[in-house]
Order: sequence, then C-alpha cells, then structure tokens
Amino acid sequence: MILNVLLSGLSLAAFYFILSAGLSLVFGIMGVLNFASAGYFVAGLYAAWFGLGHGWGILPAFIFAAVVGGVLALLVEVSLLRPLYGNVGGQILTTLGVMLILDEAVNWVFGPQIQQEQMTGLLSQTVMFGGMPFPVFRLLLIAVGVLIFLLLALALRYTGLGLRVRAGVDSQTLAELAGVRVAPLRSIVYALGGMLAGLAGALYGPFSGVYPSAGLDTLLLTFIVVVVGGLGSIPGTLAASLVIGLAEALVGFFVPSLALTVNVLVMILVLLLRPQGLLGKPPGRRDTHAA
Amino acid sequence: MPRSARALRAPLLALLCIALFGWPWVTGTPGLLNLLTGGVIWGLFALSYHLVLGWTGEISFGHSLWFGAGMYGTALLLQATRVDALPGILLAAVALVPLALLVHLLSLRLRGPYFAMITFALAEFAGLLVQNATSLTGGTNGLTGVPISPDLAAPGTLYLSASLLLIAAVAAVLWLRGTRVGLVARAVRDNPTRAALFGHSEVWAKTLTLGGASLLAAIAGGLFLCYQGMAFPAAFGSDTSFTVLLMATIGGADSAWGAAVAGIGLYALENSLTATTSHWGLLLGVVYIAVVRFLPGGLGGLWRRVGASRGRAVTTGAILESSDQSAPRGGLLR
Amino acid sequence: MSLRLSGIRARIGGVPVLHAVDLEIRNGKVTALLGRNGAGKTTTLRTVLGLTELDAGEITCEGRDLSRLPTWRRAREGLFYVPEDGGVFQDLSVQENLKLSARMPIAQAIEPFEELGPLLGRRAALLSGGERKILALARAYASRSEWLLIDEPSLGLAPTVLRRLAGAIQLLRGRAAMLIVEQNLGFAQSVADDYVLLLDGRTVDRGPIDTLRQSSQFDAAMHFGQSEGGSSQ
Ligand SMILES: Nc1ncnc2c1ncn2[C@@H]1O[C@H](COP(=O)(O)OP(=O)(O)OP(=O)(O)O)[C@@H](O)[C@H]1O
Ligand SMILES: [Mg+2]
Repeated sequence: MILNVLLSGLSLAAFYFILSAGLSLVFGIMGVLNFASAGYFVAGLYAAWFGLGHGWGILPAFIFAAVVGGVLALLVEVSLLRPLYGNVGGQILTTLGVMLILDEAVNWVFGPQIQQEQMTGLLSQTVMFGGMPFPVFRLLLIAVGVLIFLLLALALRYTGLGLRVRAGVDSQTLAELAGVRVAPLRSIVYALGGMLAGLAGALYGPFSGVYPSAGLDTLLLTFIVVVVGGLGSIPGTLAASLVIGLAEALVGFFVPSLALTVNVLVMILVLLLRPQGLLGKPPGRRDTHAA
Repeated sequence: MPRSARALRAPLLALLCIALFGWPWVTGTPGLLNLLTGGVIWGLFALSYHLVLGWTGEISFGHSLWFGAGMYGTALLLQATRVDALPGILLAAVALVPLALLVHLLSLRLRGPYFAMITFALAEFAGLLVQNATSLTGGTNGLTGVPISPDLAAPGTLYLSASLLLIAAVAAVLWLRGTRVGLVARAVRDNPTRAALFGHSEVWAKTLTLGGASLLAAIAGGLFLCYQGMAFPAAFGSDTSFTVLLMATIGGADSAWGAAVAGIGLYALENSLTATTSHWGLLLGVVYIAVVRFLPGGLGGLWRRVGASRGRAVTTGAILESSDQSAPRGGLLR
Repeated sequence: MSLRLSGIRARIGGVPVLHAVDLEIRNGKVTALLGRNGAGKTTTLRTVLGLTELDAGEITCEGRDLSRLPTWRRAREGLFYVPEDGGVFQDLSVQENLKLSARMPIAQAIEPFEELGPLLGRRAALLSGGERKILALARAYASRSEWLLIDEPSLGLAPTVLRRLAGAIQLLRGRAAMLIVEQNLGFAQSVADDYVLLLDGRTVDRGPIDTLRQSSQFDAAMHFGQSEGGSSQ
C-alpha cells in the first residue's frame, strides 16, 4: 500500500518535472518567466485529446501534442519575442498575452466544459501492486519522466549544442564573444520548452480531464516547483519535483485536504531557509559583460 | 519637461476630474453611472499596482490577493459589527496592513521572476483557502447578504466616494513621489546597491511601498464589495492580477494618473464588451502584446510625447530592466 | 596584416566616453594601451568587439570594415577579447571552456599551458585568479585568433604568476597582434613593443615602448590631473 502511495508520488514527480523543465530551461537562456508555457500546455492537452479521440493510439497522439506545443512556441519566439530581445519586462508581458490568447482560443473552439479523455489501450489498464490496482499509465509517466531527464541531462552535457546552450545560459555576452550565435539557440530552447509543455499537457489529460483552464491550474504547481528547485537548473527541477510530488502523495494519502497546502508550505519553508532554491546559486552574479 | 507642458498639465487634469465627476450626473443614465463606478474602483486598484510596478520595479502576479482580502475583510467586518460601510472599508484595509507588511517582507527575500512567482502562488493559495473555508466565506458561491449601510448603498454616493478616494489617492501618490520617500523608493528601484551605501535598505523601502500598494488595493476591494453587493472568490484569481497588471502597463509604469485612467478605461471597455462577446480574455491577450509593441511608454509616455515632443518616454521594460533583477540562478546541470 | 581603429567615438548610457581613438595593431607586435583610470581603455576594447555601440569611426581588419558586424561574427573573424576578469564561463569546466573556442585538439591547446592539465575537469568558477587568466590565454591560443585584446592581464597577480603570464604572452605574440591594456607599467614595458596613450577618450600619443617616458603626453595621460577626480590604486 505504501508502495502504491510512493509510486503515485513518483508519477506526480515525473509529471511536475516534465511540466517545469521547459520553463526552467527557457528562463536559463532567455531570462524570461514564460507564462506562455501554460498556453502550450493547453494546446498539447487538446491536441492529445483530439488524437486519442480519433483512435490514433497513445504514442502518435502524445507526439502530436509535443509537436503542436513546439511549433506554437517557435512561431511565438520568432514573431513576437525575438524583436523584444533585451527587454525582459516586455517579453514577460508578451508571454502573458500569448497565454491568455491560447487559453481563450481553446475555450472558444472547444467550449469551457470538461472533456473526457478516450481511455483505451494502455490508458485503461492497471497492474496489481501489494494487492492494490495501479494504473499502467502512471508507470508510463514515471518512465517518460526518467527518459526526458536523461535525454536533457545527456544532451546538455555531451553534445556541442548542449555545450553552446550552457555557455549561453552562463553568459550570453561571453558566448557571443566565443563566436556562438545566441539567437538561434534561444529559438531552439524556446521551442523545446514548448514541446515539453505540450507533452505535459498530453500527460495531464488522462488523469485530470481536458478543459481550457488546465494550463492556469497547473501554473501554480509549476511555479512552486521552480521556486523550490531554483530557476535554470535541471537537477534542481528534478529534486524539487521529487520533493513536491512525494510530499503531495504522502500527505494526500493521509490527509487529502492538505495536499496542496503542503506544497505551499514546502515552498515557504524553502524560501525562508534557502531563497535561491534547493540547487540554485546565491544571488549576486549577473552577466557582468553585458552591454 | 518644458514649462509649457507642465503649465498645461494641471488645468487639463482638473478638467478631467470635473468631467469624470460631472458626466454621469449630467447625462443621468444609470447604466453609465454604474459602468463608471466600477471603472473608478478599478482605477484605484490600478493605481495601487502603479506603486508595485513603477515604484518598486517588481512585477507581482498576485496583487489580487489584497483586492480579495480587502473585499472579504470588509464583508466579514460589516457582517460582524454595525460599523458603516465607508469606515468599515478603511478599517478593514488598515487592519490588513500589518499582515501585508509581513507577507511582503517574506516575499522580498526573492526578486525579479522569483518574486513574481511567489506572489502568484500566495494569491492562488489564498483563493483556495477562501473557497474551502465555506462556513466563513460561503465557499465558491461567495459571500452574499452583506449589510451595506446607506452611505455606500446608493449608486450615486458610491460613485462619489470612490471618485473622491481615487483623486485623493492619485494626489497623495503624486505628492509622495516628489518627497524624500519617493526619491528613496526610486533610488532603491534603480540601484539598490548604491542606495544601500546611503543607508537605504532595499527590502524595507520596497516592503513599505508594497504595504501602501496593498492598502490601496484593499480599499478598492472593499469598494468593489459595496458595488457588487457580494464578495466572490474570483477576486483572488489570476485574471484579477493579470488585468490590473495590464491596466498599470497601459497607463505607463511611471505614471500614476496613467494607471488610474487606464483602469477606468479598461474596466469600462471590458464591461461594455462582455455584453457582446464572451471572449474578453482573447482581447486582453491581444492588448497585452499590442501595448508592449506599440505603446511601450503607456498612456503616461504618450502624454509626455504629446505635451513635450522631446520628453523621453519611460517604458515598463526599461523600469524592469533598470531595477536590479539579479535573481539567484543555478547552472543548468547543477 | 593590421587591425585599425580610426576616429572612434562611443558613448555609454548617453554619455560620450570615447571622442577620437585612432590606433593600429600589427601581427607579431604587442601594443600597450595606457592611460589612467577612466580614460576609456576598457570601452575601447569593448567597442572593437561590438559590446559598446560605435557612434562614429571605423574598425577595419585588413581593410575590411568590421563595425557593422554582430559580436559573434567579429569573434569568428579572429577577434578575441579577454576582459579584466578573464571572461571564462564560470559554470563550464576548464575543458569545456577550451572546447568552446578551440580550433585545435584540446591536447594540443594545453601543451604550452601544462598547468591546466590536471584542472581540465574542474569548474572554472573554482579556479584561482591566476589560473583563470592562464585559462583565458589558453582559450585565446586554442582559438587561433589573430587579434587579441586583453584587458589588464596583470591585475591582482603575484610576481611569479606575472612572469608566467609574460611567458604566455610571448608565446601568443608569434601568431597574433595583441592590444594589451595595462596599469602595471613595468609589466607593460616587459611585454610590449609599442605604446598608445589614451587621455579622456582620445589617443594622444604613440611610439616604441622604450620611448614611453620621453613622451610629451606621458605625465598628462598617466597621472591624475588637476581637475580629474578618482582614486589611484
Ligand atoms: N555605465 C556607464 N555609464 C556612464 N559612464 C560610464 C559607464 N561605464 C563607464 N563609464 C565611464 O566611461 C569612462 C571610461 O570607462 P572605462 O571603463 O573605459 O575606463 P578605463 O580606462 O578602462 O578605466 P580603468 O583603468 O579604471 O579600468 C569612465 O569615465 C567611466 O566613468
Ligand atoms: Mg578598464
């Protein structure tokens, strides 16, 4: 039984990680709190719902969701954010606008009601753990979370693109001085953030339903995770996802009404003790070479 | 700014105030009076956000917290005591200030994006608390049947009181801006390190400014309670925060009266449009993007450009840039 | 083979800082850019890389105008700038720092900088000040850049490290033209061939380094004048 709760916690953690990793990465390279990611999330949610509803099967539907999120993000970056380069305030307001537009557009097209996800195949199956049924989908979620963490960490560590991205996160100016063109890196990372948000949306549907304000509803948790983990740090995001996911599952099991409260409490505690987040660095360092 | 523009300013503003006051009386249309009353209250709310954006240089995504707190605080106070509505509103708002100071002191352990996120989380959390404390707050249905004394129950007097409060608040903010308090606030916003050398603590200056912002927001929340006749949990919602942020941005981050005017205008626009379209959010999003693109200095910047063709507009982006946003951050792989 | 600045003007935050900077550096030569604090030396280097916007004037590299190019293009054209703090990526390891600009195998790049060998896996933030400077020069070497602009290499270094640094600069001189900003006159005289004197944003004199003290502008440019404030260290 406790195994069941722990597995639930891990699956939540995996979801939170996928949800927040994109936001964290985008902040790292652009310095922008990307509200629009809640919009890509909703787009991915509905894309997967559409795919599953048309009998596409789980893999194509989820890939479709990630692609929709990524393409939307790329369009937004190139057309709206790029001209605002260097204007962080303007970029935040713009991503907020994009989020409002995407949420409302979905609301307009599909209506405000909660749609049920088509739960067939893998989505409907359960396995027995300690005499209790456990949804296969949640196991899948854990696997996807682990996979994405490994892919991100390895790509950042061992590929040339990953090295350039990390250099750009460290200091855009120094990266340019080393001959790295930062603008396309930003587009790539931003699109990747959109893909992760879209995928997170697809993963959200099967256990919470499909509705337009889902993006805003999860934004709170995303923010909690990145505040706790430290913006721009992938391992920090992972650690925070684990803490928040497990705490939520454990507390939710014993005292269901306190599940969300405990998340906020964890956040406040971390802020009091370590304002820079679990794995973030203390403040004071900024891009000293910038113009 | 050239003298001619400055000379133009006062009479124009006075004219604006008179028009604001007189208009609904002259036309005598209840619909318009109603619309403007809501607008003036949101103008006050937007003015409170001007303190956040323009004075501290931080962005809050949870300013709705204080609007909602003022609304529910007033409602509970009016239910529990026999106090009149207007004093009740002010009392509730003042009573919230110590709590606000505490919350800001805690939140200001963070800056920039982290500050924005924590404010968002706190407001969302407060909204959830209010929705779940059904016995006290009426839960998702909101709090109805709040006894509102005649001083604010009639639409005309509510409008008058709200307008007077708004004008007094704009005047107070403009006056404070010129005093030491305002100078310190701006010094701290633009260069906290140097201001600290002169003995001005960034955290305290910002905490106090945000406390003032919370006070005004709570008053606006209390007025809105009287306007709607009920307290509702959506007051805490992110839409409330996003809307008021947009108002202050349209007004121009550096312009108190710009925020107030934008608040009135946007509220009126929203409520005349919601009659015809239910997709206000779409418009809101488009306006956000358009303002950043085409009106970076907001109304305040526009005014300055018209009044003095050489005045430099202060953009929201620039203020957020100049304020020290050195956020803690980690390496991607650590 | 020369990099030439002519009639450079630049402002920072609306304040004019450079008024008339003219200088030329040649392959195989080390030129010392000298002047008191606030003269505009750092700004000059940043302007060459496009980090500070150019108001007027030209930056030409073998006759080609660079002044319209973005920073990353200038870097690829062979300009390498080492800021005062070394400008290494704090969050990257020594090896990754090298790899980012290297146009040769890492093993070859660190041959002349063997002290970096054992440090390859270490995060640059954890290096000492001297090690960081060496890493910065190793990056410049590895990049095969032809134009090196180095801001105050001697700053904060102990005499033994200074000698090591001078050695590294001698090594780089063979393959590149160098412009070195220096406050430490002794060090400048030990590594440089020529000097350029900068006074309040204008280049006022130049010549072979051994004639530096005879320059009519030397006192004006190097010592604090009557009106100018500031503190010397
Ligand atoms: N952000 C800024 N705003 C306004 N003026 C600036 C700014 N940065 C530098 N300056 C001014 O530009 C002038 C040149 O600065 P610069 O850093 O190029 O001097 P420097 O010769 O490198 O001095 P040092 O030897 O102290 O390093 C100085 O007078 C400085 O005060
Ligand atoms: Mg310098």
